[in-house]
Amino acid sequence: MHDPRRFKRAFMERLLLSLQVAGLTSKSMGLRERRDAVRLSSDVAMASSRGRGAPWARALVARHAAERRNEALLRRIMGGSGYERAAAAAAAAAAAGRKEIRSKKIVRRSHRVCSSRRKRRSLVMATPAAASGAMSSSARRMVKGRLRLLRRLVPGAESLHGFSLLTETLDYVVCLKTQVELMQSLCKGSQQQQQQLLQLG
Amino acid sequence: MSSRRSSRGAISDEEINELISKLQSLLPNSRRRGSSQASTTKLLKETCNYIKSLHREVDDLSDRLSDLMSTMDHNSPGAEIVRSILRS
Repeated sequence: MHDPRRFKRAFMERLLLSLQVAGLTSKSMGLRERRDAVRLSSDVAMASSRGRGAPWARALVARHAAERRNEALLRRIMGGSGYERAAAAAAAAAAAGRKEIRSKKIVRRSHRVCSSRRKRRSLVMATPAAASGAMSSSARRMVKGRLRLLRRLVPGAESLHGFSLLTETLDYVVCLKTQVELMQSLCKGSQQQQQQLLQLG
Repeated sequence: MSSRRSSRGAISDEEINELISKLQSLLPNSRRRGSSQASTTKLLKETCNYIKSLHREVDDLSDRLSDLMSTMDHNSPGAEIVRSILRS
């Protein structure tokens, strides 16, 4: 696991730089554009501070890179090579997603064709309860459903299962909490600064 | 992080328990619970809800921050913000 203090410091530095680079004080920016730019800056700062080793970090940046309108800002924040890498990852993910949809259709078709009495192997993670057989099949289905939802919520977790899914989730939640904390203190700092300016003026 | 990524069979119950309790302690209103099957589903549900609420908070903060920055002086650079944060 990474060093939380160093992560926080790097995150804040990158966030401030990105916000500056995003030109958010420009009066010509629309509301939505500005808000999206802040969100993008924050996400990219978080992901790059975490490092490319974390699947969620790569996936988060790729998600932003997948949208053409973000290209200019991303290039300014990440540099040309950083952007190219993220855009390539986005394209690869899109291709993999299309492939997965095709193969899922094939699997579904073959399940219908084959006998319904085929035993389904349990895909549920090896929780202590499940391992001891104490889980009913309906509880197992619920756990499966929740894991599926988790896979959608954590970026890049679509192909993760069981233990990896949970460790990735843990890592992601810790960083998300930091993101909230840093953005809150930025808001507070900006507000205080404005109040001070107002008092002086 | 990668040291634990062995095949599923090699992951001990203890590692799983540790992971689950770490996750539990991250959530708000975390209470001590035994590792019964009910808490596994509950934990996953609370984790999902928590992630969703964190996403909403970040959205909201992005709104607020972008409002604040739009009303700022062109001339005041990020240095001002840094200073005010360091002071707070």
